[in-house]
Amino acid sequence: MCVALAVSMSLSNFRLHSTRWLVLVLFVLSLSGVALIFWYSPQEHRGIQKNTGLSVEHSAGQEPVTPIPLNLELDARKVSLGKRLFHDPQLSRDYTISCANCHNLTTGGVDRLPRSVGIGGRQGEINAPTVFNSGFNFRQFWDGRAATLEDLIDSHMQHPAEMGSAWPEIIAKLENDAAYRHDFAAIYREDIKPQTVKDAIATFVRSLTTPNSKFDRFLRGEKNALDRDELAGYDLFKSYGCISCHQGMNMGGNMYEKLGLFEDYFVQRGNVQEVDFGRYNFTKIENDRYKFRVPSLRNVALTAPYFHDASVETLEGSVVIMGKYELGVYLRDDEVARIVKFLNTLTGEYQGGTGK
Amino acid sequence: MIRSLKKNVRQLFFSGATAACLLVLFIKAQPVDPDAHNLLSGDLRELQIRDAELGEAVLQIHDRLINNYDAVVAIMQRMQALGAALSQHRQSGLLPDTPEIRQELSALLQQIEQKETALEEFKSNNAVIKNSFIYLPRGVNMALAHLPKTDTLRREKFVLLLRDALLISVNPSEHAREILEQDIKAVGQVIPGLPDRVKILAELTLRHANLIFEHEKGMTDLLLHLRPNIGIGLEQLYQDYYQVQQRTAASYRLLLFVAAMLMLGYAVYIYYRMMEKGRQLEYAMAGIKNQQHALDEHAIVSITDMNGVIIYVNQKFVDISGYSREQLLGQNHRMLKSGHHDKEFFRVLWHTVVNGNVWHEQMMNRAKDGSSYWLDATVVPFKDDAGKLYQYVAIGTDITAQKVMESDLRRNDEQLNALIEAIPDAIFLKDGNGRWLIANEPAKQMFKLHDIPWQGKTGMELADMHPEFRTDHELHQASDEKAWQARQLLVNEESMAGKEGHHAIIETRKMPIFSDDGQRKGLVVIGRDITQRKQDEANIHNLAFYDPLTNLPNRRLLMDRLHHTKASSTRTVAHCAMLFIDLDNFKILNDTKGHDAGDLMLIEVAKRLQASTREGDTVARLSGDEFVVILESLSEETEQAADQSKVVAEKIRDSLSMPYLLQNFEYHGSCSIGISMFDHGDIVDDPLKHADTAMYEAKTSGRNTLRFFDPAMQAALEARATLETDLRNALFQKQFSLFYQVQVNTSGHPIGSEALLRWMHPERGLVMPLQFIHLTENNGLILPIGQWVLETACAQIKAWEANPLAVELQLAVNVSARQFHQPGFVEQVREVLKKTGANPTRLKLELTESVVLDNINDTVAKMNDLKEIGVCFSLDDFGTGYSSLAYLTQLPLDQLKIDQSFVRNIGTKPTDAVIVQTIIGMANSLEMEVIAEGVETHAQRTFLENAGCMFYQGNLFSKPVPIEEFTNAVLRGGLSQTGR
Repeated sequence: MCVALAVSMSLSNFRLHSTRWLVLVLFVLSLSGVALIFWYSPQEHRGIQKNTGLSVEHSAGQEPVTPIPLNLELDARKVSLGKRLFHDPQLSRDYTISCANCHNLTTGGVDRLPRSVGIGGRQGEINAPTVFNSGFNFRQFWDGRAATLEDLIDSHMQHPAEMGSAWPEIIAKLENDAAYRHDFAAIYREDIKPQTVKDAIATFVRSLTTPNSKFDRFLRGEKNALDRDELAGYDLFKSYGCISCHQGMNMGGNMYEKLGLFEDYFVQRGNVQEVDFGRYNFTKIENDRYKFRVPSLRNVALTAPYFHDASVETLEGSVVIMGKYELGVYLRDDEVARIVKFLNTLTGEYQGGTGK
Repeated sequence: MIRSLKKNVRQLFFSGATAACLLVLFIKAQPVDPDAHNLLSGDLRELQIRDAELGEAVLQIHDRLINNYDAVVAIMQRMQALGAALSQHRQSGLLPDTPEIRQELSALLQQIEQKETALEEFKSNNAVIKNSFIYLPRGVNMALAHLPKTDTLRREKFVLLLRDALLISVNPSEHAREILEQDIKAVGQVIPGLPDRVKILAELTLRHANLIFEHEKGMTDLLLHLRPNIGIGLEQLYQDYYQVQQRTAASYRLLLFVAAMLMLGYAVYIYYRMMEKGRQLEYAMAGIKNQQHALDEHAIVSITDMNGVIIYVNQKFVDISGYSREQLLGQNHRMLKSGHHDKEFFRVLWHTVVNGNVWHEQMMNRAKDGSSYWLDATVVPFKDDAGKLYQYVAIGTDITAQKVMESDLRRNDEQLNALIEAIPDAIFLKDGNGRWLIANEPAKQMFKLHDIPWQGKTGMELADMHPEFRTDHELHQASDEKAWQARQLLVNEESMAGKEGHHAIIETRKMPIFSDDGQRKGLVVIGRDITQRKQDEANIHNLAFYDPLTNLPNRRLLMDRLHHTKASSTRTVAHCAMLFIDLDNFKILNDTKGHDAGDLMLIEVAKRLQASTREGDTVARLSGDEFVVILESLSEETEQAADQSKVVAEKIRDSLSMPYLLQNFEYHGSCSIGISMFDHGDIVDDPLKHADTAMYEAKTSGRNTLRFFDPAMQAALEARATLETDLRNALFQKQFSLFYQVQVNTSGHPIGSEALLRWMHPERGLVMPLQFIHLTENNGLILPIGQWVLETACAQIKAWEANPLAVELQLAVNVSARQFHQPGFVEQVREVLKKTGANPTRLKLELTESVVLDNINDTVAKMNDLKEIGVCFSLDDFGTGYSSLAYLTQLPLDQLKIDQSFVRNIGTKPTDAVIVQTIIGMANSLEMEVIAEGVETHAQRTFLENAGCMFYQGNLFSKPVPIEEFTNAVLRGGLSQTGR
């Protein structure tokens, strides 16, 4: 109507005073604006938040483990950029250490050392866990002090015994690299910044999943994926209570538990270090002393030595220790053997390979 | 330009201001950003939903309905993310930064943290418990398997342990916990007695039960901690805030809405106004077209280019010029020149229009057929946008007929002006307000208008310039006003200060002119100098009413005056008299000495007549030697009036008897006068006739006389004259005598007498003094008579010296004023006393108050002189006059005589009695004698005596009697008559 009015006015009065005409047009425009406001008057909660996809459907009668998704929707460019960064020793202070140094993708995402080696040959305090499927862990580090991969990367980058770097330094290095400049500019509006660097690396790390293990195939309904021993191992795994902690998609990595529920692990091992206090170091709650993030058992056959202190070289040994300290059971050798067989079915595929 | 620029700037400013206001309103009207609101409330909701999910999931985990922790981990991570997001919202301002919200938010984050802690503990505990529950039946089973079946006591302990541990997982009550604790103790007690293999199993089992017991203990609290409970307060706060924002925004929206409606209304108004203006413009355009049409219908219109070449003519132009349109177009306008106007006329025309001005004039053009026509023409130059002239539009009206009429009118006007100027009368035309519009030559001369700007001025304004006419103007204005009031022609005579102070008399004719609605429009004044006529009229009047020779009124005027006199005498009772005077023997004078002498005589007579009469009297010349005098305002008494007339007549007669000096000789003339008395009752003609008659009587009775017409009057006059004659004779013929009235004292003893005059008329008998004394005073007889009385009285005094009875008596003699005041009165008295030898002390002179007051100094001197020789004085009639006490003391009086009028009233009029008493008292105090006259009763006498009056005179004692009777009777026996 306003437009019609304006048009009719302008048509019928184009000879009249131009300023007045201008004023009228202004008025009409204002009116149109006002009309727009009323048309666009806010409505209470038009449409609720998009569904997050979370649900609390109970899983009674189902397996306590779910298979790793076969596909992940990740930005391939970021993954690609992250992969380059993951393998770039520039990120360390002395250009010697990249992420892949300790998380060798060809060796199950770990360096297979009891303690990793940082810049200047410095040794870490704790056994490095695998980078594979770490994106599924509910928190990072043995004590869970990092909530996200980004935090974890941040920590590794700046840890003096690890990469010993600092962000300005890293950024400067990356900015010197035309390829980085180009790639970052292509992906991130912010260009090369700590968060974009972390985001790229974290995205890449999240892509490091190992679906399609035998067990996953079993879980997906492939009943013959496990042989008798492996299946028996799984039954033992469940009937002895291992499943209480190693459950979920990552078979662990989603809770904390005290090491040494039935017997005092650290007393019996001896030489208790600060790093052995576990989560307590982070929360300073007494109850958290000796609590560690329950590690994922995915690809566990590839990630020896085991435990945070790398105290056990073999899977059998670690299964026995777990039975003794955590489950209060004394497993027979055949039981251990079956369980180990079962654990071997947990090795998944990364880019078509098992990373062996 | 600047003005419109300013206007534009102002309008732009207002537009901008309005837009800014609207923008502000618009922003204010925005509630919380909807996306932000949705995001925020969505996060808050989701947080609560996740919280609920977490609670539910935890319970399901607890109830083994969920067998992994991925879900709760995801929920917790989501909740943490939401908590971080809310913190972010607060920092970014989506969530208002109020203390309450800050507090609530930090509490929320803390709750999430606590939940996480609780969740982690729950997960750890749950894993332990679950593991132990998985193990416990198998552990118990193995223990039982190693125990003998007979060892029911210990077997039962393990069974109970398992049962109660399971029980606690179903119902984690304190009681169940206590039971389980007892079971654990019980199993612990039996363990040492068990075989080694069983012992290990039992201990392990017990360890599991213990773990269940220990971890189950905190599970209830953890579940409570993990109950959904977060975000409600924050959401409530936020929703409150949001509602407030919404309401505020709603208010602004309403405001905005109102503003919008107002502007919409204004826009509609403007729109309609513009529509209206558009319509008006159309009307105006149509009107202009119509006007052009009307103009073409009415006016002669042509358009020429800059060079005067005709490029457009309308039909009327064609019609009046006689040329066809084709003949006209492309031609120069000059082709219509009539030759009537000179070069200057056209020079002015072109000069005017070339300078861009409108030229308006009446001009004459020539048509094709050679006839001329007049136009009332207007030439309007037109300029293009650059201000350059490009054409002239000439609009004309045919005024040929008007011109002819004007010419006729002008001629008429000229004729009328010539006419007006030719009229000798002064002619003025004034407008309704008295302003002078037209004045012809005589009028200008009359008011000396030649040297002053008189036109358009009022009379008063003219008076300012010629003050000598001020009075005239004022008078004229007044009479103008009368003419206005009368609303018709008004003829008036007005005086006018003419040359050298001579007053001219102007006859004015004033004709007021009114407009149709009755308003004053004009006044025509025609003034004619009638001074000469007036003088002529006066002359004629004089000739008609006045005798040219003597300038005395003629017969006609006399008759006129008689009318007046009659009219005036009707109002009064006064008598009038007409004296008819005829000169004796005038004819002889005329005949012998000629008419000139006669005329001189007549003129002189006239003068003497006028001199002899009073101002108000009329002297007229009837004819020839006949004159008439009318005397007015004479006495009311007929006789007195006659007397007065007679006096005047005689005065005239005497006057006219005086010698006349005529030319070179002295002439003695006389006249005869006839008198007729008249008053209001008389007919006009009668007095003249009567006087004429009387005059002839006078003539016949021997000329140089006067005669009254009235027979009775004549008779009375004659009678009086006879009496006078008789009086003169009476003295010589000794017809007078003295009577004496006795004066007595309180004892009745005669102490004196008053001598009283009596006239014994041979025919009329005894005549009392009242009847003749006034005559004697008039004709002077009083003096000889008084002399006689005095002599007779003195002789009597002398005579009484021989009579013992009378020798002591004093004789009182009345003295008249004339007598007393005549020179030598004292000598006379001395002479008489000496001649008679009478004793002066016996003589008492009675003076009236009038005598005394006539000449007070003379009186006192004479009285003193007489007192020296012993003569006494009495004041007669005391109380009737106006004697003042001052005189009374000055006068050497011996006696006061109370007037008989007072005495008579004693006993009847109290005031008179008081006066009597006063007089007596006064006399006594002045040491004078008091005598009362007119005493007639004893009562009067008694009263007087009581009042202190010691002497009396009156009929009570004796009437005035002749001397013989007085001497014989009164002095002798009269006393006995007093009745002593």
